[in-house]
Amino acid sequence: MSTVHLRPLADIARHDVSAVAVTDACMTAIVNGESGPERPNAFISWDHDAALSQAEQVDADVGAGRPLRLAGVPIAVKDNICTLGLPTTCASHIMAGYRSPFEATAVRRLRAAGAIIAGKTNLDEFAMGSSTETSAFGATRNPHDPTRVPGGSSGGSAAAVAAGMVPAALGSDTGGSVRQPAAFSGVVGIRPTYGRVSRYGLVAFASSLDQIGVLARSVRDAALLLEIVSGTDRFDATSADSDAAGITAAADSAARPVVGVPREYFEVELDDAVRRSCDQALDLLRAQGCTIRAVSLPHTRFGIAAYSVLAAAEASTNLARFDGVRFGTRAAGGDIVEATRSAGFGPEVKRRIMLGTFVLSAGHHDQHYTFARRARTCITRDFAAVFGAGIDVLFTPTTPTRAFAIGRTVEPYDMYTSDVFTAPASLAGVPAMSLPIGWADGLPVGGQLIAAPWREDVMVAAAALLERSTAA
Amino acid sequence: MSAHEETAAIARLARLSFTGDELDRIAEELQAILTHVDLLRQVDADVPVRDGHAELRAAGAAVGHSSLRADEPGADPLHVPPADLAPAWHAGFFTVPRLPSHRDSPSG
Repeated sequence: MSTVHLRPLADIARHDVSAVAVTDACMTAIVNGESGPERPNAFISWDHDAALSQAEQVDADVGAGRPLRLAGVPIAVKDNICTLGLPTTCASHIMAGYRSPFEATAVRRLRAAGAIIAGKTNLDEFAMGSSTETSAFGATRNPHDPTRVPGGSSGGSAAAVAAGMVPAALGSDTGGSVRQPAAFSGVVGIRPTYGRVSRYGLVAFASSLDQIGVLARSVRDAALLLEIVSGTDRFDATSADSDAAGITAAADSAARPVVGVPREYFEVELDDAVRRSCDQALDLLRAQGCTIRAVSLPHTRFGIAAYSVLAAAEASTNLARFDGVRFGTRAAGGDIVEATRSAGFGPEVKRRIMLGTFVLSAGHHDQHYTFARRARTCITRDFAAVFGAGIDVLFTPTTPTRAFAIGRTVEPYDMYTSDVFTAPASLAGVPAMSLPIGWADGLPVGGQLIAAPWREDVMVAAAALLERSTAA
Repeated sequence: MSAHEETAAIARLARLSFTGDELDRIAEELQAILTHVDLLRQVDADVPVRDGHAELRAAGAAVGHSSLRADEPGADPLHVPPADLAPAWHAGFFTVPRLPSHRDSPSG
């Protein structure tokens, strides 16, 4: 089977192989990859003919001399991001039949750069989860071990990249939903600074935390994709007039960053392989000339609790719009709104809506919700303090464990703790990424890098250095 | 108010319905989560929390008395009178400006 679609993105975009040939190889990989009883179930939908039609147009545009930085590059899109031509389901029954009349800005920018939208990927319902098991379309399986999860909620995107079906994908990251599946699936995942990428067209989960992120097979590819989708957008008032130029070039930087290692991320129970891989990664960075410095982020222990409260509160508000009137399905019954929501939402979504409604209700608002906002301020100040004290990037494990088994029975809050290392960066709005730093028993381990706001270039430079060192 | 009753009240606000057993289970799950997030009480109470509405009022903006709604379920969107949804309503139809391309338009 052809693997022309798995070359580095810049190589694909050079167009020495036609967009049609690259897209055909990609769509064939998807069709073949999604066959059989142990298929990853990474995709919810795709359209082979529509993808080829896009590719024909790209070939024509390139032939006419139009410069396209992603000419013919097939990209998968997480199915909570609106696209034209394919449904947007959010992996939920309540969205059945919904076809968006508009396209997300990030997707529009990909198309404008010549990318081909290969298909829509599976996710935890409404992006609420850490395993891609709560999807109405069934769980996604980890391509490295089909008995294990790929992580979540962008598990479909991570699995699609890891399985070699697409070279790159868009995901969304609220509390770690790009970075955690990147770690579990052995790919690179970047969550940008809050406001770097427009949220227009991303179905909202928690508006102060959501960001569209990227997943790819290499640091350079992830950086290029991020650069393309970044930028201010008049349809998203929270998008910033940031300059993303230089993020990709940072992958060639010779800089040797000062790396902070927050003790709070290592003073908890870690999988032996995770701890060992992190130690080895730090040794590699040290050997490359980086200064490694112990630091403290003292409010880290409040991260999951604060995230759980704030994300649920915002979710309860954002999902109030799904009432059987404007989107998707409608249930029959005396109270259409209640009947639709009760039949259409899965258990985890209902749980989070209930939690969010509770913490925002009278008599409780001044407790949990206000306390969570205070914790968020403290966590944000912790990051500001270390970055203001000469630290270029922070290095941490992405997750406390490697990918766990599908169907693992845990209490709801224990599932949330899978995001213990990723939630704080989300709360602070700082950029963070995961890249593979080791393997054990056939499962990948992810290491996380975190940088100051708008310093994705510094983060990418450090990541590329670690990637080269790990590969050597 | 018992945990079951409080959970039922929250469910009404959230526009969700549960069976009795489901309500009991979700009450337990919520209590377990809230026990974990109780950790947040240890955050320094002196850390300020921004009140956006207070800031706007201080700047002279006309902001409602409270930034918080009462604990009542939102209005059913299907119960909003059609006349409240459009600026003009006549004989059971919404009235809208005629498109220039319409066959009856002076310019059509």
